Amino acid sequence: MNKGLKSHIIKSLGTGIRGDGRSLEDYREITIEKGVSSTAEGSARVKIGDTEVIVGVKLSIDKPFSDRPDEGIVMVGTELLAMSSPEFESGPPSIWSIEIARVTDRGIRESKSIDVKALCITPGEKVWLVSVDICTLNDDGNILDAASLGALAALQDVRLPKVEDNLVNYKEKTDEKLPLQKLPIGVTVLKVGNEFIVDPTSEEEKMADSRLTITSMEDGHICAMQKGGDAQITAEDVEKMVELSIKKSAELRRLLE
Amino acid sequence: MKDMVAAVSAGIVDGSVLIDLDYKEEAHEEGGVADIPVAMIPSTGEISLLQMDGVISKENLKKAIAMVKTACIKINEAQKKALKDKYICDVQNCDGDKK
Repeated sequence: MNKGLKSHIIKSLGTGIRGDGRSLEDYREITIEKGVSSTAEGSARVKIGDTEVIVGVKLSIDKPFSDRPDEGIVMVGTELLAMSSPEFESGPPSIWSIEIARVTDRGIRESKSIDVKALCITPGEKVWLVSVDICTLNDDGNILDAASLGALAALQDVRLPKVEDNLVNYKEKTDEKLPLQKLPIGVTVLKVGNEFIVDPTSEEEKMADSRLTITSMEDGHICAMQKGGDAQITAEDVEKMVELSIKKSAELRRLLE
Repeated sequence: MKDMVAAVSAGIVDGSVLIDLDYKEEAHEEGGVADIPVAMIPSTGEISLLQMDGVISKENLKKAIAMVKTACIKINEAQKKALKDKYICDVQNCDGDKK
């Protein structure tokens, strides 16, 4: 990235106003639209500014893991479509796409958001397998938060399909929802110079020194964290970043309620 | 090169903050559990890696990071000693692989 532009943006962050007029702790406009796919059991489209992701949830009946015979399975995958950013290429999954899937997965899994025991059909034999697929349509920064928000919205949108003679009839949905117990929201905080910002644009992401994604729940407890970026952060930085993310997650959660 | 990186994992088992969890403590599932691998640059106390799985309050997280900091300084001393021992050795006791 152009060095002059970088120092200019960092200097202007010091005044508390970002390039697009937002304050350091403001998100861009967020829209969440549920039920965008008729073939998925649950789906959502999330836009944060010009960043756009679609999340689809598919359900199937599978064998449980032998060490957890009475628990359903949840899997999260991310597809970074080449059309959504000049930096994404088609082909095998990139490290970045795996990281997005892992961070989103961890938030849902560790918060015990989905009651996996309630997804058991016959212990040791049949359980529901919930596959969450995140697909980017446009990347203008902050794909991580969009993915976490989209995954939850799509999970809320799920209606279980009908099961007839041990076979899933995908053409007919029941009224039954997924057993969602918590809404873990991931908020990524970036450190740029001495400032902390949320919801970065692509440009801001490129100049950030480090980032910390913190997923927190309704009660303010943290259920997942992931640090990224090359620069180190201090223990005081972590405290500030956690504080900010918990505050913002409460705002984002309201959009899902 | 700034320093040697030291790392340790902190965690919550049954509500208490611990560091350097053993297998049994990591596998414990009842009550509140969390696993937090942290890598630090001991001379500055800065964090270069931070991950967390599980459920933790921000107060306990602060406590865990403070404990990691103390442990990383200790680990760093062992690292330095190991490195020195590798190079400084009595000629008579020197093994073939030591230079």
